[in-house]
Amino acid sequence: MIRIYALVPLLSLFLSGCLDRLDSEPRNTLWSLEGQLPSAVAAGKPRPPIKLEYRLTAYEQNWFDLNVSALGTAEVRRYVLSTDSSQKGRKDLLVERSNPLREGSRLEFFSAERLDRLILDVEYQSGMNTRRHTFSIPVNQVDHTPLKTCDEPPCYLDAELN
Amino acid sequence: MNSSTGSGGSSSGSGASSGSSSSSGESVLRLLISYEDIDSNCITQCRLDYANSGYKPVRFAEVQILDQSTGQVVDTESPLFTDAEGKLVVNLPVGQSVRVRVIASSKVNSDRGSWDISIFDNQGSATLADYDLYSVLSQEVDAVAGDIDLDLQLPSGWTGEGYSEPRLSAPFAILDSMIASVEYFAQGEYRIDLPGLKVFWSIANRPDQSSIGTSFYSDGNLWILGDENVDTDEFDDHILVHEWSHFLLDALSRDDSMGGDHGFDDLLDARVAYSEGLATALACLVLRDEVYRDTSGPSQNSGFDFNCEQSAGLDVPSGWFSESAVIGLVYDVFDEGADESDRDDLYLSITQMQEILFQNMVAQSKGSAATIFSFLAASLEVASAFAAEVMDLANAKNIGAGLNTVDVLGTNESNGAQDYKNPQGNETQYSLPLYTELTVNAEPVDLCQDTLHGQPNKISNRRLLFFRIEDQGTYKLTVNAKNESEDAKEQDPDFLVYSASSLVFAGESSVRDKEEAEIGFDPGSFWMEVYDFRLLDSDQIGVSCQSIALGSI
Repeated sequence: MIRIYALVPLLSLFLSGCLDRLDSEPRNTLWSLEGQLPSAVAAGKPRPPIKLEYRLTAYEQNWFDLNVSALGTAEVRRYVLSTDSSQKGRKDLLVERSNPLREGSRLEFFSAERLDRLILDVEYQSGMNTRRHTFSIPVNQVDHTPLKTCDEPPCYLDAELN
Repeated sequence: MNSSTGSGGSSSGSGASSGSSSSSGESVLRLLISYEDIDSNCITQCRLDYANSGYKPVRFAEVQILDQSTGQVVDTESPLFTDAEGKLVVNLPVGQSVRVRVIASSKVNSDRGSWDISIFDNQGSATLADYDLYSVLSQEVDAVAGDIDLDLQLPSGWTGEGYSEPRLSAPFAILDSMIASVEYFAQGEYRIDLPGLKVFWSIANRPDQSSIGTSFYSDGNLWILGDENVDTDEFDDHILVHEWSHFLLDALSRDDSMGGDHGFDDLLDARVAYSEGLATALACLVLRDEVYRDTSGPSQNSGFDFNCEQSAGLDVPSGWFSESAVIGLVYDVFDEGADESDRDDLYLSITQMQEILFQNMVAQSKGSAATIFSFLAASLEVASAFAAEVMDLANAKNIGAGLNTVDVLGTNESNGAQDYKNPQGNETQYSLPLYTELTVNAEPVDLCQDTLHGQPNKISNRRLLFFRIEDQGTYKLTVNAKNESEDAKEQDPDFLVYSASSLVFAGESSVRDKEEAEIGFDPGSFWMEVYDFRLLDSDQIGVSCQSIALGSI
């Protein structure tokens, strides 16, 4: 137990050092992508009372930053960014930011794994209530083609009921 | 509603039959099929309330009996369907071993109406294709003499930490919401006959561009999110009914929305505001639950809500351009008003709703689009005795402000969203009149659009016109950009011409600063929209103006 407690400040120190280095050293941009949350082209159910713009930038040595700005009137209180690797499932917290700036907040993070998508949880003020909404940011575009289709409909999925 | 299938019959030959009588050599299989439904609430925070889940009957769903040895479907005299209690009785020859396949599909034709709804696994893809129907197979059942009771419960797969087990109930929850929606409308005096509806749901349906983007309706198909820990909609009943309502309006009423991103605080194109607001109001009415809820997030433990009654004085826009205003107005017109939060005494019946949406609006002039004004005009016709109450409610939402009647064109509307400034502090100058008349062989009319409140489906993005053709013939429709200043930007003006909800002509060339076409018209009334594609395709706020003319050739 002592060893685990001792690891926490060491890990914090390491991450802090990494972030300092990220800020102080010139970085080479590998690629970037930008978009709106929810997707600007989406048609369908009503959008939550928040609307965001983002720009995700990838740098050398597996460093990234996500710059998020709020477009709607609702006040954003907190961002929590995590991964969704197709191999691991959604487990890893990457970074979180409380009291972000409306005009843009940078969420910097390190990820050595191949990113499938990022999950951004947003806590915001809605009238008298605090509400949360979760957005999905695809990093590697998935092929829209379905893996399997039915040759002679109807075909049945036939899940087994125990 | 009574199902016309799955009743009566007796055994014949070696096949199975549905019914309740048994004789020597026969086994009576009594099925009771239910699915686990998860309620949502927003008491502290919006969430799916797994602690208060319960089982509901799988109603009017298709069932097959499979021979265990061959795997083939056992012949029955007619397709088998569960009844309103999720029950089905099947006679089987003694000694036969079978399995029961419950299919997420429902086809009913009764005295009150008909529907044909099926739920497919699209595997996260937004591509239209032939997909597998969701179905569940029971364990083997040996047909012994006498009665066999088989209780099939389809669980949600939630185990407390997540969906660790297959999410068997989700397709059946979606199916049941759609059936309940039809049943609501079938309470009226007129039959409800709906075309086939395909619903695509998958645990891989994500809310981003790599998958379906969101839950939505398009051209006879519904796409529903199923992304655990991010956004699932299979138990968000209001969303299911909202999207189903788009299908209903497309099939039986008028819906001229171009779709696109929209929210409760947006200032929208009149057609979008009406379509989206009506769909949400119908969701609250069908479910008899005035709080629209959309859950999402880790463990489905987040989300947001919106009260259709809006008794809490929400800070949302008010006017024909607001889906929130449309929600409140439509909900107030039809809600039973029995609860203390209701602010009105008006209650139009479901039959009157049928007449407004499916008869009067459909019979309206083909020279106008479906907006809250065409809804109101139809409502005033159907419920003329309550015209004052209807207009009071409309006025309370700043629709038809100060008027005691409205027409389909929104003539004399004075609320042009002047009270709403964009983040730069500007308000639109080009929202009214809602329609401008175009007269054959008359002087051109000048119109402008802007993107002050966003694009491409927001207020003032597209301007509406109407015209009447008296004589069959070919006519020249011209839209010329008006670049009055030297620094005016290049335009790509486009136009679309409609007769009711049918597209008659699309003038969408990329010719600079001009769009023109020679179009053959039969006599009748038409409406059209004019917009600058460059303006709508740009991230920059701007204004475009054109001169529009229609002449006979």
